[in-house]
Amino acid sequence: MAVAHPVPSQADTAPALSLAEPLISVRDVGKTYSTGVVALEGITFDVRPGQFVSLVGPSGCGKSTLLRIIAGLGGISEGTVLVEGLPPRESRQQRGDTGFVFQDATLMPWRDVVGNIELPLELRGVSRGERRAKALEALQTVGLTSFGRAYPRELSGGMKMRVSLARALAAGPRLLLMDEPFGALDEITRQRLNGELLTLCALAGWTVVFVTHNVFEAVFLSSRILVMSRQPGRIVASIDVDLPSPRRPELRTAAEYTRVVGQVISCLEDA
Amino acid sequence: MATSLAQAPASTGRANTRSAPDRAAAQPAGRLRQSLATAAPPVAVFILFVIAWQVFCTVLKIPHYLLPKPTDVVIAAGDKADILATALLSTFTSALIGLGLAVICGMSAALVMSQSKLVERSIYPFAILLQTIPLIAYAPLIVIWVGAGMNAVVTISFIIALFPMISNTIAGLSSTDHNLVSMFELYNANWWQRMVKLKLPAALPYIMTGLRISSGLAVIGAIIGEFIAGIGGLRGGLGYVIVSAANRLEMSYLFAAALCSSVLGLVIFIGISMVSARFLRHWHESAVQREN
Repeated sequence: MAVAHPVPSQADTAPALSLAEPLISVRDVGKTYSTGVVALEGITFDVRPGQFVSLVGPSGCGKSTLLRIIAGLGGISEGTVLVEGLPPRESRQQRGDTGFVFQDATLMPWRDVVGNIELPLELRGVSRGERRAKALEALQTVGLTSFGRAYPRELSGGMKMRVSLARALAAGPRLLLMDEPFGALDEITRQRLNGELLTLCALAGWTVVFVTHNVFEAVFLSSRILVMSRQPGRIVASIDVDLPSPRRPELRTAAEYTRVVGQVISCLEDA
Repeated sequence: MATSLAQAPASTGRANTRSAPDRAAAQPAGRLRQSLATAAPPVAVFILFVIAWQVFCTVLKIPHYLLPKPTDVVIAAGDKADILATALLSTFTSALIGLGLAVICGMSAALVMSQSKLVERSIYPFAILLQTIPLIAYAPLIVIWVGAGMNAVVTISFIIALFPMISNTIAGLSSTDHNLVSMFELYNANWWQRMVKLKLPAALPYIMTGLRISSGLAVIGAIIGEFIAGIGGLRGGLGYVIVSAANRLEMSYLFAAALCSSVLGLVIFIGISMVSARFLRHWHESAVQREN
């Protein structure tokens, strides 16, 4: 399903993009802090449209830093990063194609649920009626229709995360960057949201880069897993996950699933 | 409640939404009983205190020029009700104008300072310095500069009420959630959107706290201003009433005037608390009503 573009297309100002081209292209990226600490070194990978790529690694391996770089929120010391053929910041500003989901739901406590979901559209200058309609539609997709007028403090952690997903959905991005979005949730809620996320991805046609330290989650969700080591942050392995799609909850007990999990864990131990 | 994708209810939008005020409004009798329950203990303490005061003065035969009985104060207040009312209104006006100016200038100054750490570091120390100079030192200057009377009273009230607005607004503006700031950047918000839709709402609880402190200070400032720089007569305000009553040893009248000023402070405080509750009731812990 193609996601409607809420902003007028600005393709004429940017190079044309074919499906075969990577959506994200990271080449020899390094980042060194002014303190001399090397956060990232020699990072190279591509993400093709429709892929679900997970970055897995121990805490402090720079996976969140890398995600922020792709979002255009942080600079790099060497190498190049292109998102849809442009440097991340320009890509974000010109195309408005990037969505981001943080570990906490990052909702504004002073706005109700609909007000929160509307925000990206509101910032873009979409008319009130249109953004309300889009917000309600997204709310229905995540199954929170009756909570449109509730305030974030009235919601549980899982519900807040659903609102956060609905906000990304309403914004209509092509590329969704997720920074340990389910890290703070209980196991049952997390597994259910994993399933819902995959449904949403199929529905919205998202390309996802997903940061997590949970190997099981990464294997369940991803089409490809990049394993990172720490200090300096490097990609030590790229594992294609060729498990059947769509992924069903039963997969979690299948032998092939366990095999891939074992493979990722051994890569992490070697790192 | 349906929470999974598969069970998504088909109804849309407003039909079966719920919100805190609706629930509260559904039980007006319960709310009335609750406010009575909240008000009862302090009122009881007040009544007991007044009775004890009356008994103390009567039994020990305390002369009225040392400590008037509550009945004396009430009689004095009744005798000079019109003078007190005029003075009250005059002080109220000065304090409100002073507070209004402090809010506008304080928030503007904080907004400017919050734009850059350098600007904040350069200016903020002087705001603190200004705060530490005793009023007595510059009050005569103010009278010379803006003239005696209401101008000086409003100015003094303004200066005293200014600092809490600056410091609280700055604290509020710099305490915005980091991830929300990143999110606004991600969705390409411009400066104006960041201010109006993120920074100011996030700072609101702090600003309201500042406003509550400043409101009390504005009343004190107005009365002190009238003390120092007030003109005599009917337009002198409560400060002038207090000075003249003290000079003539009319203690009952003095107590009545003091009572009026505390009522004035209380009224402004309650008004601001109501405004604050109105703004913050849905989301901030300080204003949310918990159902236990």
